[in-house]
Amino acid sequence: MNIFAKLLPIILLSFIFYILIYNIYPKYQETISLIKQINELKNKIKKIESIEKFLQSLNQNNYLQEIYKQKNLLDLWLPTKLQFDSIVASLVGIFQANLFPLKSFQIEIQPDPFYYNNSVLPVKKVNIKFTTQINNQNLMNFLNSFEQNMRLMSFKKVKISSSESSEFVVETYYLSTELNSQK
Amino acid sequence: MDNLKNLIPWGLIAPFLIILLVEYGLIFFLNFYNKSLENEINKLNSSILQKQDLLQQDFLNNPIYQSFSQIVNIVEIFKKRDSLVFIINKFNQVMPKFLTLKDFSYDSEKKEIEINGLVSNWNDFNRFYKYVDNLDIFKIKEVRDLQADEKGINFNMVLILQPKFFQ
Repeated sequence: MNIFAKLLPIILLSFIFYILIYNIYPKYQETISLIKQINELKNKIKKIESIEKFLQSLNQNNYLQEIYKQKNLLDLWLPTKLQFDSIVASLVGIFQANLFPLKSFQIEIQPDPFYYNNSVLPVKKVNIKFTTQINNQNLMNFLNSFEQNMRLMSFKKVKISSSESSEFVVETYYLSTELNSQK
Repeated sequence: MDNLKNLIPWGLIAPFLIILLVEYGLIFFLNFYNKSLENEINKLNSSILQKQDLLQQDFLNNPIYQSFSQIVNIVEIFKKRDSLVFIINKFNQVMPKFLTLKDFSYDSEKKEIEINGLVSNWNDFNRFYKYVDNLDIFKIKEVRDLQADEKGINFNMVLILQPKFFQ
């Protein structure tokens, strides 16, 4: 009993340190990490609020109001929807103007939206694949017609053959309203 | 009992007991505080999700932002687009007259031209290879399917367009 009484302060001291190291310190660390998380979330809210303000300021920006007045033209260059009919109309128009027959073509919409610039809405790319018999006289006119088409188009892949049918993959675009979750 | 009172040095032990009590108090406080922090985090998270959804809808439905996005994307597409007409014209300008082109392929992503050509003999092929190799607008990636027939030497050549090509 006497020995226990003498060891009691040492036992208590060990117990105090045990609680400090194995109970209080981990809880303190948890508190710090939770406070850090809260600060990060608050910063995120501030960022969202600043974006909200930016959106409001867009509506009051005179330059953008002017751009908005040209919406019809912008919709021709880069529609806000796929507008399949405008793709067909462009193809038929180009082929007819160059006296080439349009027999068949394939349309493939890229699944993921593409971000040319992270501050604005992305675009969806649409690949138009077709083959046709072309001659050297009309070739450059034919290519020019695509590059100068109202709806933006660019050649992604071409195989121009002097003996067989030539193969083309033309890329066109539309503004996407699907966003990547990370953006 | 008196014996125990005499045996235990209460004066020495009392501070340790007080420290222990304080420690337990601290544990209790930290548990309570952490729980309230967790609740706050949950509230903030749900509020952020709500705000993000609203903001996303606002952006998608805002016609001014849509027009702004259209004009920015149009400019970017124009900047990144290589004109095939320009590429073919430039290619035709630099190619020697003794080369006959059977096929011409272009891949805009790889910025590669592949030609299926014909020259009249091996000397011309060597001349052509050296000529193209010396041009700083192309880098020869591959030469394959070299084949001699009655018309001459057929070959396939893959050329990578260098930045100077577009200048």
